[in-house]
Amino acid sequence: MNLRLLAWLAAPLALAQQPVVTSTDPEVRSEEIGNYAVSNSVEVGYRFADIGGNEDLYRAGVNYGNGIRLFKGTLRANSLDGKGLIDRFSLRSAGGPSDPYQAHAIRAERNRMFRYQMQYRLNRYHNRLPTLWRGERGIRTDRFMQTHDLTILPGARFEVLLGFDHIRRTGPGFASEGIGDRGGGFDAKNFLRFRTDLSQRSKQYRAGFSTRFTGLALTVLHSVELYEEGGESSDASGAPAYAGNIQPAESIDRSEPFHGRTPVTTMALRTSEDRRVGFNARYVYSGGYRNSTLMENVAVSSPAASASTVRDTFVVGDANREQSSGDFTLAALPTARWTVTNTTAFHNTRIDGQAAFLETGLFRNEFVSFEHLGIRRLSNATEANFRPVKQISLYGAHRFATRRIRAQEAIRFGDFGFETELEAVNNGIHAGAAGVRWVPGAGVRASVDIEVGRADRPLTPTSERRFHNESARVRWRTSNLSLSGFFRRRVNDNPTELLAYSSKSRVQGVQASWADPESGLVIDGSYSLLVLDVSAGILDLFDLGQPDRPDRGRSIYGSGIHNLHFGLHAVPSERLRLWVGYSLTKDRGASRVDSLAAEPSGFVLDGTTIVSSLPMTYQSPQARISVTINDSLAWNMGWQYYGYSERFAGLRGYRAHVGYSSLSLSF
Amino acid sequence: MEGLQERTLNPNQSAVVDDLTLQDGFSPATARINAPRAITVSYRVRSASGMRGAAGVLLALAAITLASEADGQVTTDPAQQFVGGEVCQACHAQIAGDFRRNPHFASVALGNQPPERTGCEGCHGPGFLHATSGDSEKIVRFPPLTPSEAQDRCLVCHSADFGKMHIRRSAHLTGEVGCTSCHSIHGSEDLAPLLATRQRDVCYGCHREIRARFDMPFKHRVNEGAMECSDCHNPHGAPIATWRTAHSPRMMSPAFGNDQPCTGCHADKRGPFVHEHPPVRVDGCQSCHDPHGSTNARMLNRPTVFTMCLECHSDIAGFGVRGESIPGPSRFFHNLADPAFRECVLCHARIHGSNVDRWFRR
Repeated sequence: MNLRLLAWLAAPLALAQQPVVTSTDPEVRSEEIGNYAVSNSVEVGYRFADIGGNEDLYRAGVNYGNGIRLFKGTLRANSLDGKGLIDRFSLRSAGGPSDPYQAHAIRAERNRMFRYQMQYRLNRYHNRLPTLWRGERGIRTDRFMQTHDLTILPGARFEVLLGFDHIRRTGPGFASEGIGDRGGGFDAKNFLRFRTDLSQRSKQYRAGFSTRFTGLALTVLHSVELYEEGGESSDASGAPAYAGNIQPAESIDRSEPFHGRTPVTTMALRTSEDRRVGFNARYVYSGGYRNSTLMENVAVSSPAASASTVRDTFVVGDANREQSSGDFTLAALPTARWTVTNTTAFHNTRIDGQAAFLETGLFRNEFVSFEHLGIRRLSNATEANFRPVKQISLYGAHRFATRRIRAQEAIRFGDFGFETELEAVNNGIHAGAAGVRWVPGAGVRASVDIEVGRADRPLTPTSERRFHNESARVRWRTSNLSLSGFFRRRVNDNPTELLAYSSKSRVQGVQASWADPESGLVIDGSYSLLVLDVSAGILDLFDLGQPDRPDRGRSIYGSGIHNLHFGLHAVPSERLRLWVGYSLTKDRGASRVDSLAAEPSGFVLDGTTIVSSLPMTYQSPQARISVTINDSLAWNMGWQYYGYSERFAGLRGYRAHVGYSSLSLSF
Repeated sequence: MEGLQERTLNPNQSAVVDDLTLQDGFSPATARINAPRAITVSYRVRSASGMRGAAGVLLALAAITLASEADGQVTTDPAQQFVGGEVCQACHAQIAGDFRRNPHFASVALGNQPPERTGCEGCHGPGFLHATSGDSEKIVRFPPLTPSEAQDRCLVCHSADFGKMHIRRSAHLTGEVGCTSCHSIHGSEDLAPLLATRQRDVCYGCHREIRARFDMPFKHRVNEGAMECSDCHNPHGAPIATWRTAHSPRMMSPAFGNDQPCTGCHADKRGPFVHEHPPVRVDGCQSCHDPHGSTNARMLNRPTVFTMCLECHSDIAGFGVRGESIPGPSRFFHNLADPAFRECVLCHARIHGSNVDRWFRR
């Protein structure tokens, strides 16, 4: 198919699929200003939101509010003759000033002189949701992220790489936490509500170079990240009384500063020219050093002491993590029909942590603890593609990994203590994969893949043990029609004598798109079904006063998510463009958990079997229009509805109408 | 005037075509050639309106031939002869005009790149036969190429890129997804990576099931523009993962060289901690979380916390970092009949790792 036609088709398709009602992507033309081709577009408007139901849930999932917003802004300038100070410049903005999600990017480049890239993002995150059972957690943070990269002499034989990242997360949060433990003498079911002022900062500085010589390219990069976290917590006033609270808090103060650094050195050597045989090799060392302190003072009314009990805790500790990894990949293209790659990789992690703990209360508690966790792994993968004829390609792979995990811990209370042996667990996995890709005719493409793997001594019952994956995909594309379907199944069984874990997931779907270049009409729709069926042997902890109750039970989780998308883009007249979209996500659970329909708790206990599911419906229709006023100006209006409901808990649902009106200016 | 035409320049004859405006920014208004010897150039005129462009083709071809001879680099195989971008724009004026906004135009603006590394022929190969015959089969066209063939052409220049080191073994290439499956060199509006559409829509085009995940009530804000797929994934292939069993997942961009991409933003979960929760390090964040979307407000794999924790904490021998067992909760203390014990993280609040308590309670 013609490339230009493909591109033309792709753009309105994206608009028809647009998941969030936002900028309308006016057509951008470029004008020559001096020796630059310059294009500019900006869309500014007002967004409104009308929210009903559980607003906390809405803010946790969508979080659009009222206010003026820059929907989109782009400015691009490209040199026509390569003689300016900057050959290429682009500025892209979305969000702000009142939007919870903002992203801005700048790129400036002078050929063979420098390339500068900057990204800035802001994510205002709100999540204040009661947990399904008891307690509360809430957080309202602003996360700023900025990344700067400067390449000096890009494309030359010797490039200098410089960079700087800054991540900052601040804001209040609160959480119900159980504070019962050993030395303080507090009851285990003593839940307090902590209020914390979060303050996390991460700064990373990077410097390195990349050079090419005799057909090879070498990159060396060193970076240091400085991290600091200073959380101050206190008892939140007006904390709700929980049924489980038997000791109301009188006061609580907690300070837990935490800081450290992460140095990283990366070296990569690879062939810089595409040859019949190429290789790449990479080595990365990263350290991680953290120092921490916790100071806590809690006062509660203690029935045991018939008076207020004060518990003071002071902990200092440090933790080191050193990691190194390397890989070597050989890629061979012996003939035009064959591609063979082999990768060997190793990885080593060593984490050591130690802390001194002092607590005073009803009892004095003082000890020193140490923990070690080491992971060492060697892995290899061989993959081959063979194309016997132009229409058919065959794929085969074998992968294996062997892993050694070592752990040790020690605790010492004065003269008394214990120390475990440095114990090791060896774990390995082998997997084979094969696939066929077939192009039977113009625009038709089909593929089938299977993978079978076996692991011994997996880390957890849910880890991969005896697994096999199957997938198939078929697509037919003509100049104005695209049809596709896909299927994938993953099965993992982890049988043991006392416990058997089984996870079966299935994903299948179809998609259809139709586009008419003449009229501008684009229709796109898709349907996906995601099924998950998990059965796990668990400890039975529902000790309901039945002494003969078995201590083993089973947990069954079922999920069947239906996802539907529809999008339409039409150009009824020269000045009018119209978008309509609808998305529906509906988790119907699984057939075996249909009996949950009347349960408000999200699970039922059937003997010693827990059957859980969370049927829910989330739907979002949307519509947008754009009216062209003149060559440079357009007026846009959009509306989107968000509706969420859960079958179990009526309070965990919301509905919201979100809309906007904006003007697009472009030249 | 349509059809195959020939024109001969005699020794030392100057040929001047006035008003030769091919495309602004490319050629002077008048082209002049001084021929040191007789030279005959063939060219095809496809329409009367194409005459002006055809004259440009003629002069450019003559100049190329003469320059090659002067340099002693006479190429006898016409299939290997480059003609330069000025010739291409005679017929492909629209593409040539748009190309000025293309990042690849940098190679043209630079002016000192070899012909096989610049302009149209940098990707489409030598154009002499195509320019003189007008036959589209005489030049490299990307749509008929297989994904690996198309990729081979891109890698001529891009193989040295650090981020594309593993492209030969990327799941995309082995799945017959080549460069032009996602990138549109001439049709991209998003100029920096030359993607055919917005990044998320490119990915959603095939990964419909992941799109469904981002429609869940709790998800990373990809649809809202706060994130992009490439924040976590490297679509050009990534090194073997340093977590889980190394071979799955395959297309993740490691953070800090050795860590899971999650820790690039969630720095507070990265540690190291005095007391680490082993699955975070050994099997990865996906042991408990679905990073694309979930029905759980913390994007857990199960809507109810205790069922997820109990799937691993089963007290069965043979699992865990010591191979003994992953300790299960005390049956007599953690009575799930009491709702207080169904939200494990109420007490085990520092579940990603703690500097205070080996059971992650503070």
